[in-house]
Amino acid sequence: MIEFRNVNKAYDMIGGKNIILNNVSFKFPDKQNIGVLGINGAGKSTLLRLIAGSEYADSGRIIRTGKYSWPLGFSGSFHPSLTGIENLRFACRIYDADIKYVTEYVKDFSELGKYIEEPIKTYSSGMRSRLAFALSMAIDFEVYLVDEIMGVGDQGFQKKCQDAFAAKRSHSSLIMVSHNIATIKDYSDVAILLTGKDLEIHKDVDKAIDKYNVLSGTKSS
Amino acid sequence: MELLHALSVQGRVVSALTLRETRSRYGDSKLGFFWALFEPFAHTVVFIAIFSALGRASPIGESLGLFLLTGILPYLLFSNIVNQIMGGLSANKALLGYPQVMPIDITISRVILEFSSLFLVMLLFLGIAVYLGISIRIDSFLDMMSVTGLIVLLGTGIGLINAAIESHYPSYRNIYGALSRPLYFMSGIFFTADFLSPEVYEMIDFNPLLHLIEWFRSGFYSSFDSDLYDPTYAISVCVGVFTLGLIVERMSSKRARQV
Repeated sequence: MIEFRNVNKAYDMIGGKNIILNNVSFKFPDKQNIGVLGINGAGKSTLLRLIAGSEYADSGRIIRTGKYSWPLGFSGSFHPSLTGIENLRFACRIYDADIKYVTEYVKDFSELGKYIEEPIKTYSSGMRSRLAFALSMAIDFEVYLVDEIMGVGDQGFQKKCQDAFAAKRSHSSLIMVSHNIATIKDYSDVAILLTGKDLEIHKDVDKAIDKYNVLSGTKSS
Repeated sequence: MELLHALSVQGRVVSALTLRETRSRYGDSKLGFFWALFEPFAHTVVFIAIFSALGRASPIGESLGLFLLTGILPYLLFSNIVNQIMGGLSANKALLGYPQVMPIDITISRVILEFSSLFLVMLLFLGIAVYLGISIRIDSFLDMMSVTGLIVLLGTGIGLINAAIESHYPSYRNIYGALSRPLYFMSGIFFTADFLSPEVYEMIDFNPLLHLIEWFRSGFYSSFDSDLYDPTYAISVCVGVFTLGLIVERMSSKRARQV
């Protein structure tokens, strides 16, 4: 369960303040896959980081129960000069997960081969997202926070991710941010539209996408 | 319950970070721990050379090396902690993506590593001294440990304050470097306080490190007991700076998380 109560969030910019959330009170629907839509700069990644707890609100409360993943994204939480294995071990330690099991799982799932022993900075973005996915699947969360990295990699790997999520469906859900409308459609039960100050929830994902298209200017109303 | 849970999470994070710091410092290259030994060794050798050239003997005890080390090690403990804390956030920024990793955890792990390294270095040097047949009779182990604890507080406090200033003004690092250089010569690393004329002593006795090193040596040497250090002053400065550091950290840690 995640709930925002009077949450404010803004970034200081050279030209003034960029307001992302303005006194937002919002209860996220439980056990549903949520797709987050919003134009560039609306604060989709920030929203995900707020949900995760990686970043704090300027004011207001964020109430969270259950086990949430870290925001799975390209910039991610991997340390660039540590190897894949070292990053994996670090994550296991802080999440109290079994290092041996996770290592085996990740080696098998990520298909990184020898690269798992190389520093993360040598990875391509596809390899990073494969590692992030495999690791988060192995640690097992109730809510997966996915920032843009869905739909990367080849078809085979995408299929694998879909299957892994499907298998977790009974006890895990996801909140995802993506520019890729098709990915949002594939995964989401409901959609949240970030309008640039507020959150709008849409039970009908297609309608949310229509509205998003109007906002982003790809379609006139 | 909630507090216990939070503490166990923080314990896991700090131990994972300490492991990572230890690995990245001492794991990759064989030179890692050698450097930890070499740094105080190099300082000592330089001063031994200067003392010999001037034809001067050790102010306390027979061994000049031991005298210098009892000043250099506490000083390095302080300055290394400050530098480690200042560099800590930028070196671990990515890991703050994990919600349970707090900026203060990075600081704690670096202080633990620095303290353990220098403690090990001190034991090694004492071992070498014993091996060389230099007699060591520690006067008060408690005094030495108290001073060590106070130096950790002082270094952590200054480090946290510096890190906060640096996050607003990146060029502050150079300014601090220049400002802190004279400390090396004002902290009694290569002299005892009674060596100074009262006028000079009065000019630099604001420096808590001068008191701490004098105190440390009084604890170490049974033949030396200085009345030129003020424990009350040293304790108040260290505790005060540490508290201020924690307050500043709390105020600036929100900012540190933003990407």
